[in-house]
Amino acid sequence: MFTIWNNNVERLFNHSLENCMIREQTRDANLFFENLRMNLVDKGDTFEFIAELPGVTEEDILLSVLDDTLTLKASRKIERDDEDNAHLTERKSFSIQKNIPLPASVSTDNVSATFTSGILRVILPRAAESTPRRIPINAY
Amino acid sequence: MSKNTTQNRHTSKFESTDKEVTDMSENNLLNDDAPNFETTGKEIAINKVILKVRPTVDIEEAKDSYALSLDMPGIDPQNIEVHLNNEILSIEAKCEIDGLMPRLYTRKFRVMRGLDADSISARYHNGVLALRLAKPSRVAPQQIKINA
Repeated sequence: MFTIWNNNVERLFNHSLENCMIREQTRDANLFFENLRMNLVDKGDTFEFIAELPGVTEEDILLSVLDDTLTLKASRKIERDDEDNAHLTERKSFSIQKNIPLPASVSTDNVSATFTSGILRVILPRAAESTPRRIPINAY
Repeated sequence: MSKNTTQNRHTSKFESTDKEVTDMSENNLLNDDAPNFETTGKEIAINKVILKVRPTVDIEEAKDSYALSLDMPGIDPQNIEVHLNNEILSIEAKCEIDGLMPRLYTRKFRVMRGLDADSISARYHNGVLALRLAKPSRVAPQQIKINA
């Protein structure tokens, strides 16, 4: 009796069901993450990085910049009191880390960031040495 | 995003909710109004592309209310439209953020009968719209007298 049961359980997990469930979850998560957008805009003197982070609080955002890479860490935790009372649970907890390569180095001391209504906006002024300078050509 | 991928994506996850919709028992469930899925996609107006997006939602039931949370970042709270019409609760808000493509967040839910629009309260914080729907008080079944 036990062996039969055991076999069945094993079969269950060796077969597609488990895979199926995993795929379901990732697809679900992809759907969610596709909705979160990020963008980097070159505004001439500055770069602007924009990220959608709904349901995240300022304390859970960590930004750092080194030379020409901006690093963003952000997380949110969806707490549900009782799973039984949930009719739909599409929103996901997440913890992300992104390294955003910048097209040029920035003046790290003057980077500023705001976070309003779930939108993070980071303003990164170009470093003086990274702005193209015209080189005069001397004729002799 | 092509129409084909949209459909593929949806068949798996939302099938279960589709079934819930057809079984519309009046006594409780808030059901996701599945037929509106078809409206998701790009709608091209003159010189303007606006992407309709279904915000992800959590629906939790409490003793005397339902709580809905929707991820809708980058919205001016004044531009959020919440309507209740014929037991369909619709939520619509435009996201116009400098540096991102404009979007229209839109989602509809079929709600239980007797829900009063005045009993809905909304709060927008950190890009999440939280709606609270007070459950309608249950009307006692009326007995119908049969006259012989």
